[in-house]
Amino acid sequence: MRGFLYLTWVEMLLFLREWQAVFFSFVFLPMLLFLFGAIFRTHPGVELGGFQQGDLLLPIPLAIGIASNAIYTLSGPLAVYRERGILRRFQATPLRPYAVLLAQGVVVYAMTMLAALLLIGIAKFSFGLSAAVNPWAMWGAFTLGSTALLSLGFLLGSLFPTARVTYAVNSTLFFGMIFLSGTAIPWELLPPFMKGVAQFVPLTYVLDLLKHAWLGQGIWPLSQDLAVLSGITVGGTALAAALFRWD
Amino acid sequence: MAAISVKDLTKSYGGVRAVDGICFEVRPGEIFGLLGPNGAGKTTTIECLEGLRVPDGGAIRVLGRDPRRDRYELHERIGVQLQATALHDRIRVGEALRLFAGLYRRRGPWGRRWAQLLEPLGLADKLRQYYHSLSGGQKQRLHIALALVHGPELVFLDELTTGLDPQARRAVWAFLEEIRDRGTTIFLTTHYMEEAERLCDRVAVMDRGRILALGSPAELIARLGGESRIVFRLLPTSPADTDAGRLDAKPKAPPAGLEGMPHVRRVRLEEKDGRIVIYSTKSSATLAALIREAEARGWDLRDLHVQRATLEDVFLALTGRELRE
Ligand SMILES: Nc1ncnc2c1ncn2[C@@H]1O[C@H](COP(=O)(O)OP(=O)(O)O)[C@@H](O)[C@H]1O
Ligand SMILES: [Mg+2]
Repeated sequence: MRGFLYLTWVEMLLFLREWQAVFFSFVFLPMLLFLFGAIFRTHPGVELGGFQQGDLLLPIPLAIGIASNAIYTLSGPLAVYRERGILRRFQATPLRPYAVLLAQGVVVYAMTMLAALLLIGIAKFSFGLSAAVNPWAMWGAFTLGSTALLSLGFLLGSLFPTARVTYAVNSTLFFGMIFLSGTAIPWELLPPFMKGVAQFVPLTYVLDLLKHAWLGQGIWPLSQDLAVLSGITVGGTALAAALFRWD
Repeated sequence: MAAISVKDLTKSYGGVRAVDGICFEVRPGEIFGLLGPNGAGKTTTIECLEGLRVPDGGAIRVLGRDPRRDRYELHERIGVQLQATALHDRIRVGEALRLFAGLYRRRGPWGRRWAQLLEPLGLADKLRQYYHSLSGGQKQRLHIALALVHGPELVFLDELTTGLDPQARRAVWAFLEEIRDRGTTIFLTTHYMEEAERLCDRVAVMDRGRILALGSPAELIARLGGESRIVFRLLPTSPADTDAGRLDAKPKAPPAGLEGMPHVRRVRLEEKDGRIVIYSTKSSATLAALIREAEARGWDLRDLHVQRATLEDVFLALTGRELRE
């Protein structure tokens, strides 16, 4: 436990000293939000599946932020540490795999949370969106979505020996997820076959939770989303800790 | 009870027997060295003891524990410096020390007064420096500090002074002796003869996965039979002098006849610098004979001197090869 806390503290420092991850979370994601804002303003009122397009303004960049941080920002450093022998040095200490994974997870979760607050602030105050955000539902959706995707990040950060392989798998998974979950392309526009595939993409459930929370609805009724994401969180994390490779 | 006991340890990679059935014991409170050339199997051995590699066979006990089965408990009690390792580029020296100290429940005698740990290693003014801005030798010394930070009972150091200049090397040796004198057991590997001889209480000479000899440096050298080395170079003399073979500036073989002189064990030519080495059990008599021979044949003996035998010679006697290649 103490090892986990010290490692979390160091990982937090290292995160802040790496400008790429900071730039993505706090500059790029807000830019994405403005971009979606501009698109939706030119096509107001298009209605898809009961949602106004404008209603999706925040959930989409937020889902992209959660997914990319959980996948790239989490597993990238682990792969680099492994390649450079840093993890091997940790292996010779009392640190356990889950502490190494969770320290990264906590840092990524906290930073994504700050980015999410920034996005919500921008959405409310500069677009004047009136969505009746339900704060607890929003926090729950964000947290469960994050933990589910982080557990995928844990797996990606545990399994592969080199950074090259890790990045290749990361990119495949990331782009696969945002195109097949209704994030990059609205779900309603997907052909039936791809809608079927989307059922197997975790991000689909994350986006669904975020949409409902953003519109002020509770998330408890969405029991399928909750069950799927909880299962992924628990299963993914346990599997990652068991299969974790130090070198 | 032994600090470490190893019985019939084996480990192969593909067809290569990296470690080939070795046995030894390390006593509590000693500095024990594994001396051997590159590829001897030192790193494989030390990493099996640390629980980082899985042996193919044999029994290992470290502080009475099994390094694989009890590794988390054991890792709390040992300190480790790996041969090939790194830290995060953007971690400061002081942060690295706090991090590693924070991974253990136990505390070193310096607690959090890092200066006491860094001073003897020559890093006292580096606390705020980033890891990537340290020189190779400074990184190496930081890794030694990190192995000691929590005051372990047993320290493993793999090639601890690679990349250090002679002065830093001596400072590290003196510091490790101090640590040993406080009761810490030290297990180290080295391919550096002087390090084994100066620092280690006992040395195991390792080559091609096997341990060829084990004992204190003085014992191992004494087993050579009180040998000294008579060392010299021969300069080319008159072209007429051909009976001893050709005496080039860099001769291909030592001149004939030296083997037959009194008390001579072996004669060798050091290929690197063309020096001739005579191993003798009674150097004064051999020396007298050598000088007579040189007078008779008109040799010009250069840089003639007598050295006591070293672990280098022990290795040579055991393997027929030189330690440093
Ligand atoms: N991970 C490995 N994979 C394959 N071969 C290895 C590995 N580690 C060591 N070896 C081989 O085992 C032998 C001993 O290596 P090592 O233990 O590193 O020796 P030393 O530390 O004495 O230089 C060498 O022939 C080396 O090539
Ligand atoms: Mg080695």
